Amino acid sequence: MNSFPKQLPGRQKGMAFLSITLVMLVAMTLMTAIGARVAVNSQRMAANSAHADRAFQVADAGVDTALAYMNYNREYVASTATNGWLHSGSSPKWVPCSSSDTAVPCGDGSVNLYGSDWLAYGPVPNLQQVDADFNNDIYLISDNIDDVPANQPWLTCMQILRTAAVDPDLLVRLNLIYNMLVAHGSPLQANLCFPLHFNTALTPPPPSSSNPTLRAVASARNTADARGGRAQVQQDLQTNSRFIRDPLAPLVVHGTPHLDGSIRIWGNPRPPSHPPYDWSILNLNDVAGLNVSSMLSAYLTANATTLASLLNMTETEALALNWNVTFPLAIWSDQSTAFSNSPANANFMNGARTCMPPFDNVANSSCLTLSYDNIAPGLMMRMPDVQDPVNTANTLANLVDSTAPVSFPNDLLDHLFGVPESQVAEIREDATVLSDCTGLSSKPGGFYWVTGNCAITGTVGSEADPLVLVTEGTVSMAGSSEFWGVMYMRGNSHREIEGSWSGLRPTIFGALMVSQTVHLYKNLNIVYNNDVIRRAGYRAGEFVRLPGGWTDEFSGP
Amino acid sequence: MLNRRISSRRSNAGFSMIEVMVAMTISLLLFGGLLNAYVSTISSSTQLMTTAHLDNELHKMLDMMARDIRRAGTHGNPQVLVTGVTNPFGVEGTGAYTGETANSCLVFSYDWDSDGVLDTSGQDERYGFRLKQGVVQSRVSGLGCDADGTPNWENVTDPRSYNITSLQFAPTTVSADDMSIRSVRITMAAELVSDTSVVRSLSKTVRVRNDLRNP
Repeated sequence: MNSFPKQLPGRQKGMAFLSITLVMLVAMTLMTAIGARVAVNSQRMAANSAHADRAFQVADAGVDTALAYMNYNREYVASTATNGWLHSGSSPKWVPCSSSDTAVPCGDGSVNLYGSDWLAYGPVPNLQQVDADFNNDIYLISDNIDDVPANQPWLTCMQILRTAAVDPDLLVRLNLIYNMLVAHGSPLQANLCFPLHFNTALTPPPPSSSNPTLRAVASARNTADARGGRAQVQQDLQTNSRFIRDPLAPLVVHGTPHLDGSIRIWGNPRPPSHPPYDWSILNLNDVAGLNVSSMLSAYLTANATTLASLLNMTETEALALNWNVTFPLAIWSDQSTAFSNSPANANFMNGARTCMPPFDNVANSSCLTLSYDNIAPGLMMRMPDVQDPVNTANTLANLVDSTAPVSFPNDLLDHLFGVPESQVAEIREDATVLSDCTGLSSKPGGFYWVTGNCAITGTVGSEADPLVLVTEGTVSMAGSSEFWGVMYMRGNSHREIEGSWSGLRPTIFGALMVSQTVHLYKNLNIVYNNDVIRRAGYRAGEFVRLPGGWTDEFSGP
Repeated sequence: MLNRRISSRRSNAGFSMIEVMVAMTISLLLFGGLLNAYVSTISSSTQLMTTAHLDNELHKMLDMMARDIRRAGTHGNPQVLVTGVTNPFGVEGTGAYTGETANSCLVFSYDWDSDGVLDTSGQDERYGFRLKQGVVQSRVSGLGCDADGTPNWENVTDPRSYNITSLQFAPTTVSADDMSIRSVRITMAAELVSDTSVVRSLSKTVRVRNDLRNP
């Protein structure tokens, strides 16, 4: 009872203070809560942006993974053999898209992008996960993986030959010019050429089976944040040739080519005219005193209808092409002695011949025995510098002049592959290294490096699947054997190729390049084949990014 | 008994005037100090937030530009480029709006609809960014860096909340064999309209993913 009034004033005094404190507390709590909310929101935004960034990086890295995977497996990518990605029993393998397929890579997840003409491969095994928080899916898609790029339309040529029959291989026989050249006393074969890509009237080919597309599609998504962390990147790929320059003659020798047997060489009927090979185009006003230019225009006008129908263009367009006359090549060497048949420099036995296309392994009717007298342009010559694109020595007189200054590439390996001899290990790494040529005939097209002697039997490579072979020992070719592709000999000693006296003459289809003096003996054919050379380069080459072919996911149509 | 009585009487008595004044003074001082501390906390956190906001906006802007510039040169049908056709898409170059510093504008293009043709009508595939009077603008219908038209370059930053005080594009090209590798360095600085002492500057280098094939 007594204590009750004692507490009353204290309670009254506390009320006001308590209320104010409470109000302030509530106000501060609200402020803090709002502040925290803003902070959380901005953190969320920052996290979203970080996730999107990382997703993009992971997806972009996926393209590199795809590229490395393709190159690692390039033997199988376009192969129909066991384990080839085109083999029906292989796993994984290319699978055709269906036009109702909306899943990546045939579609974008909701819409079909690639119809049944396209093949899909994947997912590419992603052994090394770039980021543990992301699922990284990598696919490959192609509309025609089996195609290697066709002969590029640098130059289209028509041969000028002796007969008037129509050649089925888009070759027009320009008798007029040929006869005039023959009448002048030279057993010439000339070609009528025009550089296709200079003609603006021709539109570039659309994507089609002859213009293959190969595309890597890589996507990444955050396993925890499906909306914020998603990205997709795609990159078109192309096969790159192993060669930086295609061999321009069937036999290219940095040294003396000793043709000590019945060696027959079918020349390159269409020496390329694009830089650095501009020398192969002759100055039309200055060919052995003939006015070829006016002969040419007279011929073109007279045959405009035929040309237009062969080229599938109008007469005006056909005549507007930049026409040239070029000469074929058989041997390219830096040694002037190689062109002498004098007793002191008997580099050529009587059996060595150069031949006019087409190739014929039995009749050889178009072959000419080599002698100093009939070394004509196009059959065999040494050339002014081809590495130097500025070359004005392109008149007929200079081409046959054996005293003209010679600038042959010092490093043939560099000239062909773009890797100097001092860094040979770099390019050797990319090749399949073998100790000899046993079993080579069952190998698919690609890049091979033989460290020992190489005995070729049967058929090595094929027209569709040729190979690039670097040899460091001697080479022998058995009777009836064939080699398809480009052979590069680089040994320090024993650079020789032994043909065969028995069976059909062994034949190299493509080209042979030798880093130093070489001996060729017994029966042997070397047949220049531009398609085989190009295909071999691509089969041995690598996949690379196609410039212009990178794109990420953005709101396109 | 005596004590209890005294205390009982005291507790019933009110505060003296002096007591109240002292108490009020003390509480006012306390309250004032508290309020002051609170206000300064609020204002500093406001400044922090606006700075963060500015930072965030700049980052977003830079990311957006980087993403777009990275696509420069994308071609829907890149196979034709192998045959000697020049890529119509790419980094066109830098420029400036009248009165702005040099290289404050970058124009480029990419194939939005993947048809391999540089479209100049409909969805115009010529893109770009420029600085004009404190605002970053995005290119519309292929207008040049110093051009205005209808429709005109569109604002992509908000001039009411911040000014872009500088924008610089520095494209570099490194040629190797038959390819040129391109990158663009973007440097951007901005200040808050409400408090011009709040300044932020950011930069970023973008590697243009599609290399240029040398002629």
